[in-house]
Amino acid sequence: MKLLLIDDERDFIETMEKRFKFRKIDVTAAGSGAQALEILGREEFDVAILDVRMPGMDGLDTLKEIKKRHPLMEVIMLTGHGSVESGARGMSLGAYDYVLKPVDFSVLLDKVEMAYERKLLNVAKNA
Amino acid sequence: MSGNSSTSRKTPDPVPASGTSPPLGDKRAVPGLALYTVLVPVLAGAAVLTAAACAPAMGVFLAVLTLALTAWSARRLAGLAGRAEGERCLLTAKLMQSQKLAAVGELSSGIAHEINNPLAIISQEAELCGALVEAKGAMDPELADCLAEIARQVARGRDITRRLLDFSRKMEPVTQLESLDRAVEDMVVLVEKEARLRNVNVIRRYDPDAPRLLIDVPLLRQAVINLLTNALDALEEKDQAGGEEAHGTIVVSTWRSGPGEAAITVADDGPGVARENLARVFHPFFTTKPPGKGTGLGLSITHNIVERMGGRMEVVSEPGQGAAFTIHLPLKGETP
Ligand SMILES: Nc1ncnc2c1ncn2[C@@H]1O[C@H](COP(=O)(O)OP(=O)(O)OP(=O)(O)O)[C@@H](O)[C@H]1O
Ligand SMILES: [Mg+2]
Repeated sequence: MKLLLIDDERDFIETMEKRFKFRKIDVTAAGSGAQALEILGREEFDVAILDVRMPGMDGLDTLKEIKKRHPLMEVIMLTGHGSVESGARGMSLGAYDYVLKPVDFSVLLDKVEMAYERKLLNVAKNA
Repeated sequence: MSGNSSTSRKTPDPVPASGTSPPLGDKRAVPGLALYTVLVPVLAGAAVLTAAACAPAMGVFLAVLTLALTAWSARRLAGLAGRAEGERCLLTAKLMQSQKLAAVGELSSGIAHEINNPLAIISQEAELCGALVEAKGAMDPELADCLAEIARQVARGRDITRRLLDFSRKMEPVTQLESLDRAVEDMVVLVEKEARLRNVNVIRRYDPDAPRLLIDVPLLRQAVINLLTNALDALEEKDQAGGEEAHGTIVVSTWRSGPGEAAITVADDGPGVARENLARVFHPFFTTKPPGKGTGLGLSITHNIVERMGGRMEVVSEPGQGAAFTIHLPLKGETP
């Protein structure tokens, strides 16, 4: 599985990267929505973890763009200040889940795996 | 077609007992139909034969007995036939409701497509306008404000058309085995955070032995957050009307709603749905909220999602007491 982490918070990215790598998951980090789109233009990923609040292109705009260009990739939204409205919007834009920070790593890992399974099912269906 | 919405008027029961509210359109076995078609005629025949062979007094008694037996039997059969007819009418009404929703969905997706083009042109022209004025060095704050407002309104229009297209998209669900509480918990957490700020209590009543179902997890989350948003909105209305002591409670429960069904209920103790609106809440664009606050698409999208998963929706509401919206899903999760 290839995982893309999109967050502007360096500390968060670093610990997450470490923990996913420890689980033998191939993880790449992007510091902004624009950078994520650029990376996605070159390489294919299965699941993305996307922070909602980022300077510049925010999480929801990034999600919209990602789903337009890479509809099969699953996206888990992470947010520290979740509002119901943004959650409803994120889900209707095709997010897999909308999770409040701080999130327990094992719970997040579980979600990533479920999202990955969904991606595989979707790929099989579209084959 | 299996996804139907039903409406009923009862006091909402935020703690549904398992096994209550039988699934509508359930094919109830007619008990003892053989009694009327076999046993009664045989008894009548036997009575006639016996009467022919015995004393006249006994014959009269047997005749009266046969009369009573056949009259009773005919009445029961007529009653059964009437009930079956009533059920068929109910089913037809539900089918029509479902077809109506589908037709409106198709119509609105057509309109959404048509409106997207002018919206795109408006936003491009507004951008060009800004650039032209800027190039002439004549941009002033008021004009910039105007252009920004145009962009905002176009974005709002786009949002509505996108949701409309979403609503009518005939995407096949991608199902995974998951328990209902795990599928909805993150949405509940999200709502809980906002609810706390508004003094609204969120109570979870998850079925501890909830079975795992084949569900489209993100679609179900979307369906649930729509219900939760509505409950919050309803309680806000109550808050404005009720002042100090009005707080409000949202109860989210997962339960077994029948032998082959599991359900999620989102209940609130807000103002409830007005009687005359109960049949219309699932219609696209039906809203009682002010413009800009509600587009009336939430419940129709939710209904559509649930139907695609082979489930059905139900609303129970008593004005002034609250409303309870239930999503019933088949345990096997196979869409027909
Ligand atoms: N929990 C509830 N209590 C009372 N009324 C409700 C409740 N949920 C829905 N309704 C009624 O049903 C209407 C339609 O709901 P729906 O979710 O489809 O649209 P909306 O909430 O008005 O707008 P949108 O969801 O598109 O933002 C609401 O405007 C409201 O009148
Ligand atoms: Mg709504």
